[in-house]
Amino acid sequence: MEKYKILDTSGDICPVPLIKFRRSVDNLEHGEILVVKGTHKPSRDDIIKAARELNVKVIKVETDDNENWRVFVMRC
Amino acid sequence: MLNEILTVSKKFTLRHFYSWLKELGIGFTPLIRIPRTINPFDKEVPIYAKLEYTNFGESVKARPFATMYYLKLHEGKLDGKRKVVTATSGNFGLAGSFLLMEKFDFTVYMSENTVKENEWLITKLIKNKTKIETFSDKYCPTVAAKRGEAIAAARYVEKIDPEVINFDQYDDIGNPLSHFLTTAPEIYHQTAGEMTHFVIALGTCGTMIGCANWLRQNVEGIRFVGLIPEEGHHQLGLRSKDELGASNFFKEAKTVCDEIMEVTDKDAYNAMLALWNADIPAGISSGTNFFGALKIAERLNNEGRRGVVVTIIPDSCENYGEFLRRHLRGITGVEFKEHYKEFEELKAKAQEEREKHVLNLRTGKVMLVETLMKAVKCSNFSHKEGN
Repeated sequence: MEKYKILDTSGDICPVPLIKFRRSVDNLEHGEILVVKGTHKPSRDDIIKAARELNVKVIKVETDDNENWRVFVMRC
Repeated sequence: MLNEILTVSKKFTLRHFYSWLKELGIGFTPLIRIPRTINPFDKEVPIYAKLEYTNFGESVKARPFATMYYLKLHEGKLDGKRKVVTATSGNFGLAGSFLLMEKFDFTVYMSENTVKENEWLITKLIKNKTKIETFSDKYCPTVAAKRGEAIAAARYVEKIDPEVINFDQYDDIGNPLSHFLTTAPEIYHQTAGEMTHFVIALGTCGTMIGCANWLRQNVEGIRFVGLIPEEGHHQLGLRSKDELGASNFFKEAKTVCDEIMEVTDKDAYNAMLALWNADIPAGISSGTNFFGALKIAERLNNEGRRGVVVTIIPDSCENYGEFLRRHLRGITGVEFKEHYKEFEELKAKAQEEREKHVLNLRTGKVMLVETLMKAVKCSNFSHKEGN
């Protein structure tokens, strides 16, 4: 069964979600999935970009009509 | 801000502070007269330039970093701290990487473009065991007042992590204080107080504020000219009018400057190449500074007036090889390879001059402590001198 961790950055704006994401990735184990939730769209893009640098794979990105988003990443 | 600078400067003895800088190898950098081959107005309006790349830490930024470090140590603010972070466009972080190496877990926050374009600087940071975190260059509309993400990130991390301290060059009084206590009295001593104009670019604005506050009180009639790059510029470390909101010191800088002048990339880069021709291993913002100084000299000359202009060579060309390879042609029309041999020679010259200066400071061959104590004593300010 896949292990999930959730990081909720709702209400935070740049650069806070990115910092929280980087710190969470540090504690992510191999194969573990992190779901980052947020409401600030520029931070979503920052996180997707940072994922590549941090060697975690972006599995899925969801954004609803109200610009709430979820980014799913997995430690490779 | 003068009152705040003076209040903080009285928290420690000057002799102890200057001795700390001497041991580090920071300060009392040479002031050279720009040769007449590149200053046609030299006879009536000589230009003097302070060679800041000779500091340990490689640039003018070694002064504010060392001063903030000193203040934080002195005030016990580093007790219990394990990690230091700082937002930087390069030189401040590089100075920190030399000063904090093997003492703290040091991380620089930089814009991704700076990291991408400065391979040599990044290599040095990594060699000095500094970690690098990158942030978007695009100003996020919700991060107020055009403040870069890296600056906001460093402030946020300090707030949430008790082990972290942020060396904030955009807000810390140690930045202007460093120039108030060192750069300005040095210039005063080196010109015997005979200067009419101080011309430098505004980045964090710390150099301008620190120097202007000291020199205005001690040199009668002196005028201060702040230089800013054009929008969308390639003058690394500087901030255009639109970007200057990132520094909390800009408001004060506007009040101390008698004039603010915009410098184009083309003028700055061509001025840098002129400095290279005169065998001065100048970096890009040195070109900005020299261009501004030359403009003032030209204006005085045209008006039939005499003057003495002082400016600063903030760093050398040594970390800009890759950047110049990419941008020099587009900006000036000149291929970098035409200047490559010269660049390599100047790089070596800068390193050699720095090694010599740092050694001279540390061994007391250059008398930083006594000279600065004397200059400050003659000034219109009182400090705790110390024994």
